[in-house]
Amino acid sequence: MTTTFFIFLGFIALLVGGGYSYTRKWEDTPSTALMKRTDDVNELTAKYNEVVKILERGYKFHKDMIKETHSSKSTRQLKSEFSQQYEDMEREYRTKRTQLLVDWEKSHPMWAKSRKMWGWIFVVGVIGAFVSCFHDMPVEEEAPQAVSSAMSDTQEKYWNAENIPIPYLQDSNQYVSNPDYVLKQESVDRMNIKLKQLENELDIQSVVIVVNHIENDDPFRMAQDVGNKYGVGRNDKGLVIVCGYEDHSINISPGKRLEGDLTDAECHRLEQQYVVPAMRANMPDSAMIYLTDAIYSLMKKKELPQMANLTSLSDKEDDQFFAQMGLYLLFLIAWGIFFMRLNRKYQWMGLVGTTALLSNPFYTPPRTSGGGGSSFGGFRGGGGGGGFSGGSFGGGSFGGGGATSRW
Amino acid sequence: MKLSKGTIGIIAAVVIIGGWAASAYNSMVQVQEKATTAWGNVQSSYQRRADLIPNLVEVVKGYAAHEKETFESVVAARSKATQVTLDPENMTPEKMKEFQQAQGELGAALGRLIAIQENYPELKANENFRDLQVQLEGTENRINETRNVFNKVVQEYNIVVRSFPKNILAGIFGFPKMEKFEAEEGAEKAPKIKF
Repeated sequence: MTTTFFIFLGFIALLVGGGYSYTRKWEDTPSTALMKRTDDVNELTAKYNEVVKILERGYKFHKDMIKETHSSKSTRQLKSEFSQQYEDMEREYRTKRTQLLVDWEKSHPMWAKSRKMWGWIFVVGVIGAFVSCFHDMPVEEEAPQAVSSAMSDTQEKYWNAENIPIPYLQDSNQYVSNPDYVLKQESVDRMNIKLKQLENELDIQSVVIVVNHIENDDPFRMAQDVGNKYGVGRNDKGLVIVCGYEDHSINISPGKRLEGDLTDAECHRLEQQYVVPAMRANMPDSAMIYLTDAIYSLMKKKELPQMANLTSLSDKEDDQFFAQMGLYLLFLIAWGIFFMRLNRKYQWMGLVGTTALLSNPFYTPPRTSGGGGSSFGGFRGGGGGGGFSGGSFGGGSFGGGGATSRW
Repeated sequence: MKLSKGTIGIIAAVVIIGGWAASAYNSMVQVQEKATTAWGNVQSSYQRRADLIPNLVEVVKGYAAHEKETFESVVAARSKATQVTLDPENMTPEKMKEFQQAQGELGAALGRLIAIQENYPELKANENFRDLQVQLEGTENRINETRNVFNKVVQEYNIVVRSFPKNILAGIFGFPKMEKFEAEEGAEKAPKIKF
């Protein structure tokens, strides 16, 4: 995540460096000349403001005349006449003003070019900041559902031991079968690491299946069938976990030899302690990660991971997110300051402080302003691993041990 | 010794038949052994259930001492079930039925014992009781699994032993047909655990 930030900074450095090397070719426009630009504009504006005042006096005079001569003309008519005059004058003013600025730019071509270039650099920097900031945004939990609702027929699929894909057969590092995309790829990756450890350090071969719906709503049956069909586990020390996320069920099935270490009561306790609370909060990723970690720790006879330590997993994600936002915010502030200083030279905002033309005293046109909403979506597709060798199961068998929980 | 063609023919026939008989016999032995092992697994899974019961009764007694009838029926059913044994090599349909019935009664008595929790919320909430229930559910699952495996294996065995021509040998050497488990009415469902 921070690598993107540094890449982005590098890009910015290139932009700025390029900008400077370009502007070094010509001499700076002295600040007196820049002041003249502002002064010229102000002068023009002042002149036209005078005209407005004259118009106002004229209007008042004519209004009194109407009253005295009982003319047929109404005040409203008079007002619209004068308003028209104002608009004509304003148009003239605008044209003259633009002409003034254009002439000025013509007489200072390099200044104009550099100004444009820096202007673009500023815009590109800001856009780039937003793009790279949100490029790295951690994906929300809703994103996978957005995918699965698009393929609604797969969401309704009822899985059993015959049709469930078992990735371990193609890649011996993949223990998790996630065909409904209930879990995020990051969670799957994390679980695979732990399960690999489980196999390497404790010789427990495992298969974890997380789907939405299970045939006959019987995860126990599916776990047993998968375990026996594929022969999960060496020396009967296999482990099959089956979770039906939308069925609200989970089953842990240890192989025959593993039942002594992972008793029915233990399986049940693991489910109740780690899986059910997280599932109730619609956090299947956390649930499965906690469970995998807990099983590993239990089998390693270490302390069971404390729930508190693990809940900070989601906090950690938030912290990362805010840290990232902070970084980009700092960048934008620094970027802004940098261009403030440049502003002295290029006067993007130099004309803001100048005199403004008086507004039309005869008529206030209705003002409509539209706002656009923008939405940012974070979405990252998961990539598949390729080029690994497939694994083979050790011919383990399952005798019906384990436990099932529902929430 | 001069062997006539006939003698050679008979010797050859005997050798061939003998060879076939030997291999057929061995295959029957193998299948039967599988079946016996499967039966052993069934036995041990039933035993596992039986072993849970004393603990279970103790825990329930702690909260519902007055439910004497239920306790007594469970204990009685348990001892009856452990007494009815079955030798897989001497199976008759009647013996199998007897066995199943005894286990079925135990299952039903257990169901009633567990159901007591409905009237005793403290019992329901007791952690030991819950653990025992989980273990009980696990045992019932194991019983079912081993029975299913047993049935499959027995089917294999029966096919071997009853097909021609091996059935002749089976009759001679004593490989009787084995009985499968039948679905019991009602009592085969494990008591549902609802927390």
